[in-house]
Amino acid sequence: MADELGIVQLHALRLGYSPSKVVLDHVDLSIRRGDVVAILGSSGEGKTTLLQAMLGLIAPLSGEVRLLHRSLASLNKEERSQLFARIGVVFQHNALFTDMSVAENLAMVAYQTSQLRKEVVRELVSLRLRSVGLPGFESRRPDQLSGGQRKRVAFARAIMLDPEILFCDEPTAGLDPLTAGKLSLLIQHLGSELGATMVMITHDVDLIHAIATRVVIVGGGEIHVDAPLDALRESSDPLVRGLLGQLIAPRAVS
Amino acid sequence: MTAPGAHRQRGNAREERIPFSGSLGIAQANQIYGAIAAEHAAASRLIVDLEGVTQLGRVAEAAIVAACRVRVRRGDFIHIVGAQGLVSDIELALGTPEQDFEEAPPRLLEAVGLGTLTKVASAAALLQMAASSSAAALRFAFRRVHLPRHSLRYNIALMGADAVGIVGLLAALLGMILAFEATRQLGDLGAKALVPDVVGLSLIREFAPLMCAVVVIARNGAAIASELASMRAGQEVDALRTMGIDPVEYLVLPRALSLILTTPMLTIMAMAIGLLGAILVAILFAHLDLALFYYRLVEAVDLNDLVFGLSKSLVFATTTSLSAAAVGLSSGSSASDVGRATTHAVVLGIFLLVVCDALFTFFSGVSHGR
Ligand SMILES: Nc1ncnc2c1ncn2[C@@H]1O[C@H](COP(=O)(O)OP(=O)(O)OP(=O)(O)O)[C@@H](O)[C@H]1O
Ligand SMILES: [Mg+2]
Repeated sequence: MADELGIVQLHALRLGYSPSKVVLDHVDLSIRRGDVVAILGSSGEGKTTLLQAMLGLIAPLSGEVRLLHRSLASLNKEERSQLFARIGVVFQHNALFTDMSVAENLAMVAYQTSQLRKEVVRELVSLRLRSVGLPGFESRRPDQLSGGQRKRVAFARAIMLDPEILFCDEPTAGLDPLTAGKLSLLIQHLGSELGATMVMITHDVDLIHAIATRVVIVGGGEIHVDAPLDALRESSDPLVRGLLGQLIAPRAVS
Repeated sequence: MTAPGAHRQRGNAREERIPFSGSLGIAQANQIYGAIAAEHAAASRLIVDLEGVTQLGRVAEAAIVAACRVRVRRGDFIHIVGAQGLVSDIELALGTPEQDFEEAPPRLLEAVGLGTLTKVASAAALLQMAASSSAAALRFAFRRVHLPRHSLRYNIALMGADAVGIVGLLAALLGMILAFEATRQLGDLGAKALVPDVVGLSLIREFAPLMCAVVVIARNGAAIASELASMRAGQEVDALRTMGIDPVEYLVLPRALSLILTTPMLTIMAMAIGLLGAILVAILFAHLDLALFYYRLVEAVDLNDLVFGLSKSLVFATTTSLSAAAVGLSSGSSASDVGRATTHAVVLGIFLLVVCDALFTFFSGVSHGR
């Protein structure tokens, strides 16, 4: 089965913004269909850089990124567009188009990357907005929404075309605990509904506990930990304990 | 089990069963819609049979709902059978009222996206675009109308029509100044009759295109750079790329095209208004005869000069829009980067303006001096 190979594959990846300033090195990662991966790490360790490399937004200094079994470096424009129609991304700053209505933000994904007819797109827009708890918000503009509502719209846009992989960068960061809690419920719900593979950068321990199956910790310029969540509960690694604190059984501090 | 609004035709209802099977996703959505919504002569009882469906994606679900709405509006009686969860989801969706929302017609998105290039490729479409954009510019000259930011028409309104006032004012002043100076200098030499030659040639070949370009750089070059830079900061450019949309096509092309279309129009206007200003001064202060002015002007300025001036403005518009876009798209991602990109775009724009102008002068001199 091709899926055994993993639908996000990183091979011997070296990432950085110049050859002299390497952010992450020796990155090997294979994410299988159905995995829900939480990426953690201290600020500035390279989580966003790693995500951007997976999405082909920055070119690796060396190594290869394969998304849905295609090498990102070898894609032409047409193939790129087809491939990216199969993934969804929720950006850290939402990246909604502020001069379009909420409905237009959602609809443009469909119009640009699929051949779906107008009637279907309109129905789908409404369906998605209902599923993120924002029915009737079609004509609003993103700047007329609260932070939590904007995040929901960003989710609705990302899942618009039933993506096979959903990437999120800090989906609950910057929200109050109540809103964050509601959002993680939503993510949980959407995740199970889509059956999608999820890759999220997050430090939200509740969210990780609720849905993550696998934890990747970035630190010291490389992938420090890559393990199933359950395997980490007993870990004595200080970085793991520092980042996942509440999840792990308390121990005496030496 | 029934969809709302379907109560006619109880007695002799014609029954129609549309079975679906297998895994239904985005690839099947349009077909599903077509199969259900297809035009039928008589209203009937429609059974959407989902028994054989193993998996129903949300896109396919939306297609079923959208098509069922069409049938319900036609007065058909809808019955959905299949796995309980699927049926209740669809019935729930059908039960919620259809949302009406303002939506950019796909044609508009297409026009600023991939479609633009192919459209531009055909000369007929270009002519049509020029015609509609001049019409739009005229309409918008007097009244600001809200248009989606990304549309070509919006950009043309913003870039062309909104600049009419300032360009007109500057052109009139420029024409007057040129006429004044020419009268003074040439009057001393006793060659006042040459004022129309000097003013006409310098306005049309040099000053009108240059002045318009400066206005365009300050207004539109700066706007393009800051818009694109703030879209980078807000990750919207990244978002486009992860949707498989080329940011250059989607964001730069409509802006560049608008500028390339509107700048020559502004330049023609500046030439005309500048000449009017010059005529005013020539008549009132240099006491030149209007007929003489006209005669000298027509003698001195020919079509080549007009073409020369307009080619310049085309080149200026191109360098301005493309350099501003390049600066904006390559900017960093903080708020101060947006400001820096704006400044940088103006400086680069003016630099390129002067360099291109020098090249024009040089090459026209070479071909002239042959
Ligand atoms: N565009 C850039 N140019 C140069 N260096 C960059 C750029 N973006 C990030 N960096 C550097 O790369 C390193 C990793 O940054 P990255 O944004 O990936 O961190 P992060 O783990 O996502 O941090 P945070 O949790 O704060 O978001 C940092 O040291 C940062 O300064
Ligand atoms: Mg980050």
